[in-house]
Amino acid sequence: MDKKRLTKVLVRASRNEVAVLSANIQKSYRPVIVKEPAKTLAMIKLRDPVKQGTFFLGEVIACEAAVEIDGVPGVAVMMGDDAEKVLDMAIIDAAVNLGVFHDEARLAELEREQNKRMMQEHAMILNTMVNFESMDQEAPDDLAANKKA
Amino acid sequence: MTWQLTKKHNFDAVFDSQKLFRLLLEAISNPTRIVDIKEIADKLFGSYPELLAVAMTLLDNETGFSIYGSDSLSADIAALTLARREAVSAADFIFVCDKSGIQEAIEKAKYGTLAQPHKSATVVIQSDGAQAGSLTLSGPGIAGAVEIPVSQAVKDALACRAAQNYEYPQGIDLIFVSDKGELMAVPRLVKVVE
Repeated sequence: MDKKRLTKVLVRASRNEVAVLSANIQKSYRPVIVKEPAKTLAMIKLRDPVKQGTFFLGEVIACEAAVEIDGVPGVAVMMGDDAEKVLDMAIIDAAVNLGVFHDEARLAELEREQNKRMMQEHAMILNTMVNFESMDQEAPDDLAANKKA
Repeated sequence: MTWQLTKKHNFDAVFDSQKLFRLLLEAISNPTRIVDIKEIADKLFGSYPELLAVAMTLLDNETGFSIYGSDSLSADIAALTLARREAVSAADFIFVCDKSGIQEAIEKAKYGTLAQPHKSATVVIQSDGAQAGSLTLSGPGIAGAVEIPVSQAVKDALACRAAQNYEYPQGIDLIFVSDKGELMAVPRLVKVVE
């Protein structure tokens, strides 16, 4: 699993799910904190499709942490202020860098659950979507009907 | 918040850098005065905790740095401060871990332009603290001239800097630290009096 996918799954997972993965690593390794979890601000960069440029929407509060396992670094930055979760994510990152992360199956399972949940949510939202095109077509008829009356 | 895991260092990125910054300011505004940074440097790790403490105080992700003599210090500074590694000629801060790098570091360090003299490098040099004679210094911040005992690293660095013949107001600022936690600064306008 590449880093981008890994981070995506971990960010979406709950604090407890991440804590379980981190605890598994801590059974056999002793991570050392290099940078304690701390709040920080990050600029949100967005692309403007009309002007084709990038701009900063504003700042968002984020949490960052850095750890080391056997001298191999691991870092994590995440939106929000969940310090414990970001520390656990950094530990998982260090374990992946060291090549001692063995819970890939659990990660894949989490990813499947998350995707399923998101698709269900989308399906629910889709039901309430209004089709503006059909409204446009109805409107002139309604107006005509009103005039006749 | 407390964590169950052990910490690699106890240097507080806010309060300890603030303390060290005040000390640096004192040293730079009073050349020849020696300030004690041992207490703060002891909170860090590695072979050069004094250099690392200065780096933690002065560097961030908008500054570039270069190092003579220690790859591990370079990695630690990059990881802790997120500063960029740069070529010596482009670095804002140059850290010299042993005497052999002093000459090359000072010769290659950027010294600003006449219009922008502040775009120069600050060279931080680790010296062994062993006395090797004395020098008389004079310049802004010193009443008249003061003779101080110095180490070989300080002598070499000041001689090498004087040899560059920078045109005023260009030049580079020097900071010296010893492994006993002593810190001394020699800004660009302070000169050795023969």
